[in-house]
Amino acid sequence: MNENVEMVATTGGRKTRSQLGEVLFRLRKSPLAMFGLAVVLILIFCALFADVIAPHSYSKQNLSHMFEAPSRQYLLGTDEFGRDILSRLIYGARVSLQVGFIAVGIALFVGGLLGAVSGYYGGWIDNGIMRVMDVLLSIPQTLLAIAIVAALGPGLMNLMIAVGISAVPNYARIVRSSVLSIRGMEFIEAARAVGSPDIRIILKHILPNSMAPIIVQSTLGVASAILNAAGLSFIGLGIQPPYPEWGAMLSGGRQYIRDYPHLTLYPGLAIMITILALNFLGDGLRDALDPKLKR
Amino acid sequence: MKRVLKGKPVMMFLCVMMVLGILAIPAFAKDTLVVADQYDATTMDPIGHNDVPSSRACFEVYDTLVFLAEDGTILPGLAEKWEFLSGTEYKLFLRHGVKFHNGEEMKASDVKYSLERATTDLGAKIRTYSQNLKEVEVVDDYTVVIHLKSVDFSFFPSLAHSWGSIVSKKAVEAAGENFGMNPVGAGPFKFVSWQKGNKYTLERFDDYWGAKAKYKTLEVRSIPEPTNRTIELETGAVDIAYPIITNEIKRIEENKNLVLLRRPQTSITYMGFNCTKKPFDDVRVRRAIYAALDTVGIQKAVWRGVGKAPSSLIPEAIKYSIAQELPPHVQDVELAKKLFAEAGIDPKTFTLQIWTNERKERVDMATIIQAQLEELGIKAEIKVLEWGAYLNGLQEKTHDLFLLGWVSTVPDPNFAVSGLLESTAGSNYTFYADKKMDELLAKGRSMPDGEERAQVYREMQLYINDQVPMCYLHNDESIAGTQKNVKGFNVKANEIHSFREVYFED
Repeated sequence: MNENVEMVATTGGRKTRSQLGEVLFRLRKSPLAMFGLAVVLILIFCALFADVIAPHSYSKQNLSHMFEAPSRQYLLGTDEFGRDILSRLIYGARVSLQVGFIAVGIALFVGGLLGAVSGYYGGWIDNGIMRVMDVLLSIPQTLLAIAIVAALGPGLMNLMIAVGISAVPNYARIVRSSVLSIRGMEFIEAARAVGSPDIRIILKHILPNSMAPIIVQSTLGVASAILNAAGLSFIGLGIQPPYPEWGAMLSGGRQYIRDYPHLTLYPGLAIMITILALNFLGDGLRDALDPKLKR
Repeated sequence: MKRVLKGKPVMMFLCVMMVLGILAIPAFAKDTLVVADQYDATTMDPIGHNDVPSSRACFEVYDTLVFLAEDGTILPGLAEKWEFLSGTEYKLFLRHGVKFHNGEEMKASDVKYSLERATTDLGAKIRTYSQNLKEVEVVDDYTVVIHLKSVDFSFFPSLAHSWGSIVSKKAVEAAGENFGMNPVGAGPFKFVSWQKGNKYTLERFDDYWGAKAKYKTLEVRSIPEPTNRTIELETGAVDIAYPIITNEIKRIEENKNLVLLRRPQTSITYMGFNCTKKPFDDVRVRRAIYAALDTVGIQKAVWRGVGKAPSSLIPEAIKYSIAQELPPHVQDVELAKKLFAEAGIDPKTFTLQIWTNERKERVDMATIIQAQLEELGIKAEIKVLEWGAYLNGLQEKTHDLFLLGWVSTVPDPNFAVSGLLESTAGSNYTFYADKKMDELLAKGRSMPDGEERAQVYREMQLYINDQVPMCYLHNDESIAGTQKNVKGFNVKANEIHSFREVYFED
């Protein structure tokens, strides 16, 4: 396999490899990015198969086994209700990834649409949309999310909406700038000259060619969305008990931090490693997608 | 070079100032008492609130006409003595020469103004105390007669509650709506400053009529995080901290520089039903849910040795409570199933919501309740709400089950029940409205203490246990930690801890 890659690379790979293959090839050369990708894949696996791999139920209380230290039966110990912390972390991965991806999805969809329209049409439409985005940007993202959740009420769906909406301006800006840089190119003019409708030009020609920065921002965005969601859950605005969410687990265990640190240690580590992994992956993707870095 | 020389005098001046600044820090004996409370006061207007942290603040800034001793005996306060002219008329003789913090002397007109102000809309939150007051008649500058609408033996001791604080009429009229942030009373401490959500500072009032405080400044900080309160106590940053949570108790007991104080509280934590909403208007459903819960086990798991699971609404620490005679609540799942069947409800398709505020122990209790209900197949969803949103939400009557607490600040059985179950009470979030209940409450109030009154409250408690407008979860304890050199302080059963007599021992 290795030799194969070497060979392709030495025989002037760029022409023989697809765009995606090229990116993956460059990504593979960054060990940090690969570490990030591995962690993310493990998390996705945990989230998908939580029901199968979790050793215990996430909500089953066992009041005679409260605050137990890690043991063979409970690998990461038990919490204040005697629930297995490992199982809760595994189920928590499901919530975190769900929130991360869906929130970014919402942000990407709304922000991307606004950014594309804004960049493509310009003029007063651009001005109007971007000034609204400026207003949103002037409110700290977490604060905005808190305000939205406070208005909608706590819950998984509202959490995702709040985290997503609060990230919209970032995506709108990125997409707009990409669109602006592509809009004036000859192939767009050519498309316009043959009478393609605007929607087709935006979706078929502009967006695919401005994907690189969007992909990078989304990957990093998932990390910040997960962190945001954990923060909101920590202050009680996120997932409602007993469903496990890492931020909520951290918050629930903080009263016992001096006596039973394992209640906060493991959820904290889970959040940290996830965010770190996503950031590594995002950085790696940025380098891999940057055409200027091509050899 | 020139520039450097130019800067020199400035630098010298700064150095001198720094040295002086260090010298200026006095090395006197400790003159400031720093207290860590869980929450900040909401207002220092004595009739603008009905919450414990605010009552505590008011207790230092204001004096009341009478004081309550620990055993319930009524002691003279701003009133030196009193006569009961009839069941609805009390004549009070005011203390002479009492000064407000603004230098004015307290007169009968201030007493009339203070108490009658509580019957206006401003006093909506403490209506449960003021509702029976008709008027205050000024006989002369130092004599008043209080007229009640009907005979009410719980009224007189309630004058020791912060609602009965005597305010300076002139100061209230001058401050208008801002009085709650600029309080003027006749208590042992005068108001200095207040950073909302952080701390308030009071200072000894040197013209106080009674025993003056032995230290100069009282600083009350609000530190919501329980672990932080204990750490502040351990590091010596605060002198007194409360409440102390269960898993910090041992830490304080084992620390030789600290003292732990605890005693049973006149409070109850309960899970109420919205009795106006289907199917909780059906007493069988309420009984079934109570039967499905192991409230004793829940109390033990969450509080781990603090307080106890109640068997009556009136806490043991209050007279006429029959909690000690009644057996503890026992979980009976079969009975629950039977009651659900009688009410025509299939627990497997039954869904409900449990509301609570963010307090960790309440969320924990709700989480166990949820798990126990699930054993019957009931799907319970927990909604954790911020305190303000929670109380507003409860007023909208859309809730199902909710966890809340009630402190009987005035240790009279009437107030242990009336605020929660009287149909007119503003804090009755079960919206339980029952003619027999209201009659029993009115009857209990109209009687002097004695065997007959005890009988009314016995009947009332048994009736409540039969009607199950709420499930009893917990009788709390007042628990505080202090530095070893803090003397003259003890926790109160009604949580209105006082700092008037605190002093430092060297």
